[in-house]
Amino acid sequence: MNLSLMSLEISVVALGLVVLLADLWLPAERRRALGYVAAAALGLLLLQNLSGCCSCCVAGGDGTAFGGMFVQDGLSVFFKRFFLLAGALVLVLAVEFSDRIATGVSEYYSLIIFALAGMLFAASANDFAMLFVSIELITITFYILTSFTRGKVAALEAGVKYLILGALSSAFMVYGIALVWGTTGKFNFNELAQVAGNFTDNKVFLFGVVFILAGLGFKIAAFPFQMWTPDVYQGAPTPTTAFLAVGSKAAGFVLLLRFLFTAIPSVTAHWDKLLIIISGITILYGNLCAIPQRNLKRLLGYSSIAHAGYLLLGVAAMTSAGQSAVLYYLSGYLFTTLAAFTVIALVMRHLDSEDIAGLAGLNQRSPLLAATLTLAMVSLAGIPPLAGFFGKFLLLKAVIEQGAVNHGYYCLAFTALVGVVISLYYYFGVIRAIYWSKDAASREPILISTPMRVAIVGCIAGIFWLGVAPGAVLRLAESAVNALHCPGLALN
Amino acid sequence: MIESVNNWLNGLSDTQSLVLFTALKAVVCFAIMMTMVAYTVVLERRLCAWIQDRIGPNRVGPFGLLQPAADGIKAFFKEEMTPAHVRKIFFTLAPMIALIPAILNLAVIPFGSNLGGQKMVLADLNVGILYTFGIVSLGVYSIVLAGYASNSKFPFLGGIRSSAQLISYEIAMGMSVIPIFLFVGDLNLNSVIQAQTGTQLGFLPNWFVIQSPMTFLAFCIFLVSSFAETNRTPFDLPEAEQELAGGYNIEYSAIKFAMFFMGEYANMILVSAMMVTLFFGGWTLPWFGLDQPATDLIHGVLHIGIFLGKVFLFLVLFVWIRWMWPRFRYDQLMDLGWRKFIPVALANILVTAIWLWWRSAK
Amino acid sequence: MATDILFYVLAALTLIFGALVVANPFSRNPVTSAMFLVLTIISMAGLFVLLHAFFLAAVQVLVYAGAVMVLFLFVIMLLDLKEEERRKIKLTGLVAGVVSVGAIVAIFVRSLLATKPSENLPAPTAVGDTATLGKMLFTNYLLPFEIVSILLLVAMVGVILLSKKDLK
Repeated sequence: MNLSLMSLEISVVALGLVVLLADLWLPAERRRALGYVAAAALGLLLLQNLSGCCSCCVAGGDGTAFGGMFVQDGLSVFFKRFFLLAGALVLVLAVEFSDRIATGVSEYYSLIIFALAGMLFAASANDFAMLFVSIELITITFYILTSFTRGKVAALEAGVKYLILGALSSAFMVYGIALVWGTTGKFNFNELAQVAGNFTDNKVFLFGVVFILAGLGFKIAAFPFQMWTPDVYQGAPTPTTAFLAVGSKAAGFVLLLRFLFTAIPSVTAHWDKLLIIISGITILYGNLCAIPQRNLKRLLGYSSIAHAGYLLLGVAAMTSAGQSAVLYYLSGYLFTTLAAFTVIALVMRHLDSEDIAGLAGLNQRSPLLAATLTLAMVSLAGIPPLAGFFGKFLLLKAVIEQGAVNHGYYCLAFTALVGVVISLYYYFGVIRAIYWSKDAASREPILISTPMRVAIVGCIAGIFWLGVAPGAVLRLAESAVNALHCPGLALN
Repeated sequence: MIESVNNWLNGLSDTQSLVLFTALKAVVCFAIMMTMVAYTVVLERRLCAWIQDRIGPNRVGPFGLLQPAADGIKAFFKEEMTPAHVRKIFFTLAPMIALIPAILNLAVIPFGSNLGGQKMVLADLNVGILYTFGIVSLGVYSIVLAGYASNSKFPFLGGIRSSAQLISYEIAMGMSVIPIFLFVGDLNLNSVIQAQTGTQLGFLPNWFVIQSPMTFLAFCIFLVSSFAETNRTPFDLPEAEQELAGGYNIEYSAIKFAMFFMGEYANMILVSAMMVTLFFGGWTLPWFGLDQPATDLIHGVLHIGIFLGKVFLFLVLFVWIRWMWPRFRYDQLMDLGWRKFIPVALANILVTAIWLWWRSAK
Repeated sequence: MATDILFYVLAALTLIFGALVVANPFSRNPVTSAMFLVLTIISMAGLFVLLHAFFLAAVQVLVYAGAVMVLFLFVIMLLDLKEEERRKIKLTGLVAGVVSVGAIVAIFVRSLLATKPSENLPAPTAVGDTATLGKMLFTNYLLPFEIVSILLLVAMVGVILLSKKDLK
């Protein structure tokens, strides 16, 4: 039993408990600042992880615990840093949002931290039991986070929709896991990989795999399981939406990658057509539905469906280039999306709905926020030299490289390009509202607190850094996906 | 005559004799249980009268001993009223469900050691206690459904109150017995009895109730919870006459009412039997070698007698407390269950586990 | 042989009761549905018994039938049931539901028929008894077990937050 591997998870859970308990003794007016403390603690954990790993990652920092159920490898380390960064930024955003939460500010922080713990466990899940409990920890926490502002009907509606559809998808996934287990008798991904080849024409096994994919597809909001996204994104409190868009989606992707490429590589190899179709439809659906949206959060909801489609390009490519492109794109998406939601939370503070018209006159009220949102939109649209461009470039490159194997990949690349062109329209609609709309409702300058300013500047730096100097993160991503392909290391 | 029966019995295959004897035991158990239900009612009425300095029912038969027969005949022949506004199916179902759990649970209670080579338990399950709790937890449906089906406000309030009460105290009750099973290391009720044989300090019985402070605490919680689970005073809030005019059974009359009534007493007998088994050594007495399984008929019967005697003492306790104690207020009841018993029971589990761990490490 | 018959009986009962939960031709009353769900759970516990998983069977009855469903009933009883009984079933919804469920069932049955049970599987061992289950939970599956405990904490915090009467 190697508990030291899990020190990060244990500290995050402990932090969540401390925040929950601190509520008992802190006077009400100081609870708000608890979020900064928690964010700082997560930042410290991230720093410690970054510095610690340079020395230990090479010298046997990898390993497994609990009989191969929990695995620490390049992929999980990459995603853990990703989640920690996302969690810290979301907590800063949550502090900004806290005056709009009527009840339980510190519970809001601690639930974010528990969801983060679920994501960390998901990054290391190498077993169906772990996959299921970590997904449930994330999802159930998000049910609560979604309807946290329960005075608002929209939040309640979002919570109920998410709950019902989420429970349904969990049921599908459990059923799938039961069928896979029933046919193969394996729970562990590495053990499953060794026997999965014998089951490629076992229909019941494949049926189970499809059901598990359905459950994961719900998490990442891929095409047939995407219908919850716009409503939940719109109704949920903005920090929840941001975390949902970044953390929950990335957790879905890390599990999807592990499941497809570690657990059942021999089955996945035959399923390129399915992945191509899902990816293509998801891109088109997200982008086309985003066009008429006037609510900014709803628009970003549809755009996040489209981005799930882009990310699936890398999965569909089924090469390590594709997978590292997924990781890279997710990193860019983290900074971009968090920047966008931060601006929304700040600008739309006094408005009931997050209508795009509310952005009018933003460049006079706060040039920093206007620039941030513009950069985020430009990056999401995929225009050089920002993070989104390079990510899309890598994804498309990976797909086109595979075109020689299957011509479907060319069609997919073309679809993705069409999607990008469509998305330009609505992303620029947002930018137009910032700079060129006449009738601004308010001309008051927007005050930004210092931690918020740091977070925003950090996001902008991240967007530029990933777009201009992709080397470091790309190398990390490439070494991370190696873990998917040599799982022999994980058996000890 | 006896010879031919013996021959016939010996000629049966294993399965056949199992079926035959189990059926026989079930019938006898049921008969004894029902008789006990009937006479617990008499006991209640006579004791209550005695406590209140009255005489009580003494007209039917010698010392009023045929009173239950008279009550039963009355209940059967009374006109059965079904109010027009009730939901018929559930209204009929509810009183039936009231009796079933108590009867089903008889199956796992070891009420004696051996009698003529037969184990005196209907089903020697290895998860005996879980089975018991599982079935007991179904008993709440009778009250909930009665409250719902009656379709009027007092029964409804009674039903709501009681479902909350029963669920709350089930948790405390279930958690309170876990230390016992930590000590025993098995969920089978026969093993629980086995663990209580012998004496301590030379003469005191080795029963769980006095075996260690943890098990004593467990007994206290279990005892109080079982009062709540059977809706007996001081926790008889679902049928609090003064506030609810009778509670969930207002709309019932005749035999349907009698079934609720019998259900309450059957449940009392059941929890008494459980307490006897879990904390008071079941059918054993630590003296005169009565704690070993019987080898002859006399000891076998004696064991059953010991068991029934202990159950009887608990029934007296139930009745006695009913006429001595006032009723709790509803919030006090919930407070006691959730904020006193459940934490204490949890702590008890923890302390017991640590103690056992420390003892095994030593 | 006897267990085979029992299996088919219990499986049929589970399915019938389960169907009656969602589509009861005689009653649109949610309480009836809930009671059929209780029966479904109990017959499922019977299936567990046939698998020698006595602990699971007992816990199934204890937790689901005895506690969860009572709370369900509790909530249903406090809601306005009349409205639910009056609610009209939308034809499109009905058709969509029947078609999608039918399609899944059809695909599953076809894939079941197309698959022979593989021989190279280890024979299932009876791990239903409490001691084995407890050992598994506290050794091999300790980590998921502990994560579930965090999950329960989260759920508890969430329920209190979302249902507390006074917002403060």
